[in-house]
Amino acid sequence: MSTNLADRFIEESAHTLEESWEEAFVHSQPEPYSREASEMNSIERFLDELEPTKTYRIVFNRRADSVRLEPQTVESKYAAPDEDRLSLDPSISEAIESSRRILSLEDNWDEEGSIAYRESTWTRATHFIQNVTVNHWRISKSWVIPPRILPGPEGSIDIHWRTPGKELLINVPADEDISAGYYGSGNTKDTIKGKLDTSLPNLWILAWLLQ
Amino acid sequence: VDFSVATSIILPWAKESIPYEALLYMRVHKNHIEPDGNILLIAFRNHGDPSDLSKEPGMSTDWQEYSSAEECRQRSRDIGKDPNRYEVIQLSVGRVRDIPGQTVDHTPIYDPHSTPPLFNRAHTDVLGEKDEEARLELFKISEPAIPFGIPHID
Repeated sequence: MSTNLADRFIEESAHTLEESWEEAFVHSQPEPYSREASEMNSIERFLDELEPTKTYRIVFNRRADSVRLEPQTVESKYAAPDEDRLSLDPSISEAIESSRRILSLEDNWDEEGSIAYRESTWTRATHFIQNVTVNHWRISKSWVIPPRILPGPEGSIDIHWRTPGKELLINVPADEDISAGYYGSGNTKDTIKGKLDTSLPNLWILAWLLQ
Repeated sequence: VDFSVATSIILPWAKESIPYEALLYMRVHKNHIEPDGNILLIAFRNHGDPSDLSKEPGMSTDWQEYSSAEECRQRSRDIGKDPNRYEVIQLSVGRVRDIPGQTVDHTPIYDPHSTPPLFNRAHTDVLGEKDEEARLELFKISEPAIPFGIPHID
C-alpha cells in the first residue's frame, strides 16, 4: 500500500528520521470514542482507518523520501499455515504436494482392507508440518529436511522424519479430537514418546530431531 | 482321515519356542512399498481373526525354520491373493523381542475344514500393540528377504 503519508509522517513524527528503515507493528484495537476525530493528527487518523489487530510493516525509504505501509501476511508469532505456504522450502512444499496422492486412495487401496483418507486429516497433518518447519526456520534460519508423508492405519496419516542419527514417527489420527502420537529414537538410547497437539508450534520436537 | 466326521482337530505340530537368532518372513503388499523401496509404516500392524474374535490380534509372519521367503509369498494364495502383489521382508526374532511390548508366538495353522484347507507350520504371530514405537522399530529392523521388484515365478 503506497501512500502520500510520507511528508506528514516525517513532519509530524517526534523522531528525526535519518536512515531508511522498516519496522513491523501490530495495530491494536482502538479504544472506542476515546478521542474525537478532530483531535487526531493525520497519522493517527490514518492508523484509525487500518484494520485493527493486524500486523503491518512500515517501510521508510529516506532516499525516495517515502513511507510505505504494508499489511503483513503473518498475524502472529505462529503463522497461519496457508499464509506461509509460499515461503516454505521447495523440498518441503514438494513433499506436501506429492502427498496429496494419499487423498486419491480408495477404500481397500492395499487389498488388505485399509480405508480411504479424509482431506481434513491430510490438512491437519500438512498444516502441522508447515507450522513446525516454518517456525523452526524462524529461529534457526535453516530448513529441516522434508518428512515422508504416508498413508497410515485406520485413515490416519504418518509423518516420518529421518535424519542421519534419528528417526521420528508422528501419527495424525483420522479423529480430529484425538491427539497425534509420536515416537522418536536415535542411535543411542535417546528416545521420546507421547502425544502432541498438532495445532501448537511443537518446536521442541524438531529441536530433538536435529540435536 | 475323514475330517468331516471329526469333532475337533488335534494340532499335528507342537507349538515351539522360537530361538532368539531365528528369522521371521512377512509378506508386504506392493502398495505398502514406495517406488524407492521404502516400506510404508502401515505395513506393520495387527490383523484380527474374524473367525475367532477371542484371539489376540497379531502381525502374521512365517518362521524361517519351516518356510522359505518364497513359500511365505506363495501363501498369499491361501487368502485368495496374487503372490505377484507381494514382496517379502525378514525380521530378526531377537530384535523384535527387544521392542517393548512385542512378543513372538509360534502359532501353527492346521485347518483342514477351511476353503481352501490351511496348513502352515511356520505361522508365527508378533503380538503387542502396534503403536508408533512398535511400527517405527519394526520398520528399522526390517529388510528385504527377496530383493524387491523380482517377479514371482510359478
